Amino acid sequence: MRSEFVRIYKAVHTWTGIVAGMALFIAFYAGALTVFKEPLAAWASPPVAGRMVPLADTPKLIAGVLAADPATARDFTIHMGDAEHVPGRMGWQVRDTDADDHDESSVRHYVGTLDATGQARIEASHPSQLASFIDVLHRVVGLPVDSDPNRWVMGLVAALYALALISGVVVLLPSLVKDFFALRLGKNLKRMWLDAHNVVGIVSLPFHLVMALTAVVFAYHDGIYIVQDKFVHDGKWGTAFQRQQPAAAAPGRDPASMLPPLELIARAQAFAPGFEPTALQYQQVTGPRAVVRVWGKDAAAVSPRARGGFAALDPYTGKVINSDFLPGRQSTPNLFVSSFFALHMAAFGGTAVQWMYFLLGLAGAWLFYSGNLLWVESRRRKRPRDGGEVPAQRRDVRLMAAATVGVCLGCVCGISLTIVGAKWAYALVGDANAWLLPVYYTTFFGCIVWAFLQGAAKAAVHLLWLAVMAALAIPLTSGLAAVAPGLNMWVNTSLSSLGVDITACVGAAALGWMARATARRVRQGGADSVWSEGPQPCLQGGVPGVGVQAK
Amino acid sequence: MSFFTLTGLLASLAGSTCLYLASPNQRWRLLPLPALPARSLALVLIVLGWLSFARSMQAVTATFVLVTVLMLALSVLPYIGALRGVGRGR
Repeated sequence: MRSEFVRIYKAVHTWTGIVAGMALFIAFYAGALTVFKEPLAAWASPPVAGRMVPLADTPKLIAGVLAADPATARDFTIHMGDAEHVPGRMGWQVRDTDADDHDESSVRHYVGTLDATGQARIEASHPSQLASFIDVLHRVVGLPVDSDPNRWVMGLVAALYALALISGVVVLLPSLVKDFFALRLGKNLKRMWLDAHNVVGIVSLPFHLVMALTAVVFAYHDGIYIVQDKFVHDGKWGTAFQRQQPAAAAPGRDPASMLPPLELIARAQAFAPGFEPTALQYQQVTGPRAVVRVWGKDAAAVSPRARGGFAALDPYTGKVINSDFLPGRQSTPNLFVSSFFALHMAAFGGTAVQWMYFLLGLAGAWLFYSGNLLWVESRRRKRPRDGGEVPAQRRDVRLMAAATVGVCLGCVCGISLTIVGAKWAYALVGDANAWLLPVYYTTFFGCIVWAFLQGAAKAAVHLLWLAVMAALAIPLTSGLAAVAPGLNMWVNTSLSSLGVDITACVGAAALGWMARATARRVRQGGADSVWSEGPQPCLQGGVPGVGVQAK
Repeated sequence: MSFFTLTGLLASLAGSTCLYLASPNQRWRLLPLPALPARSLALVLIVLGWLSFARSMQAVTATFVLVTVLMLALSVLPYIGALRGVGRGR
């Protein structure tokens, strides 16, 4: 390949990576955590008592709630499990009609229960939005709200990401075979960062291509669906996922005559034996188009959504109406489309794959971080070999180094403190959800300001230790809740909830190792670098040639 | 986790390790494994891994799981090798 082509692709790779890299770091770090959205929600959910009506009493519960509030018939869910984050056996949501379809912040949640006398009661519930908040950071690259404009920004970042991937592969092609698996640690730091960047980028390229492609589609899916509907489906698309409208003047049906949930589940499992139902979503149960979606997962199959897939049944007869979204029973075209969702959301292969996606997500975050380190190292001004004065580093390099440290570690610290804050805010002020956004963004922007004030080298050490403390605060909060019940906090003891504490401990240990290694580099490494503790204030202009006397 | 998923994971991890250790750029051992036998063994183990996955899940799922394992293992192994190399003073 002609070297001028490689140079062009290298320039494209460098600048697309630099423009999109920090946003992608946030998307991947938050995305790695989002793989375990349910355990995070379980960790942050306060215990609720008396809302898990026995499954055998569910028909009575449904009938009672629908009698008390007929509008609930439009859409409600019966949860099969009793995980900490499940607010009650029967729950439903009321959406603000003006809000964005993806905006969960305006949704009001309700649960139905039976009191001691067997009468149905309706209560508002306030489930923790911690996991959804982290998911939003993932979906819109660190922006606060999942709205159309923010998704378009994310789509642009994803398009740059795809461009960076393709151009990076082209740059690497001439030496791909020779340097495959190479990770050379040594005095040539640029070589080291290049190898560290390439080995992750090239080996996990399929993962990243899928992420880039699907992220673009997710960003612009509304527009894509409109075009698809018009030109492919003749305007009939969306019969499965579209919210059903009540049929006007239709004869009412008696929900008391619906099959019991356990019977509906048995029908779904008879239809798909490996399917493990988790919830039943009833829609329009008093109308002529009553349907119940039996949601669940099948680790042996590809699921069309992160929460699994569903079989649509008639709740009165138990007849399977639709299996287009049922894992393991999809047609080839539906499976093809579902595969993209599943490959983005780790919706296949069960818990083992979730852990692998968690690690691949963190590796992706490292890919973007190391790309920025490489950019910084490539522009380093080195001290002449014959000794002499240590040159001042370029101002743009110091700014980029500080921004990289501030944004990336700000995201890490911000998310950890937001997780901790979800419990503390509930204990101290009650409404924990209102504090998620202020805690995250205060930490995030505070870290960025600190990085620019202190310079990348010092700030990296400070912020890594802050990240260690923030991560440790997660299990410490659980421990404190266990030994001091008077604090009005709780410790959930399910495996998934304890898994959050254990993972935070491991994360703190890894961050501590990084903090020690970075501190050693800052103290003992060459002074001709932005990573030296020498006077490298990034907010002051550097004059080329005027530097620090060598030690 | 089913038995066949576990054996699939072990076989594909072993195959990835053989593939890495056969590379001239590996840093785990002082010398790479002989290329042809090690790569052949890697291929056999990876195929066995897929067959094992396919006993407990659908073929398309088995393929996705196998590729996921390979991507993760082959991303991590060079880092482990480099750290071992540093430990040996290479």
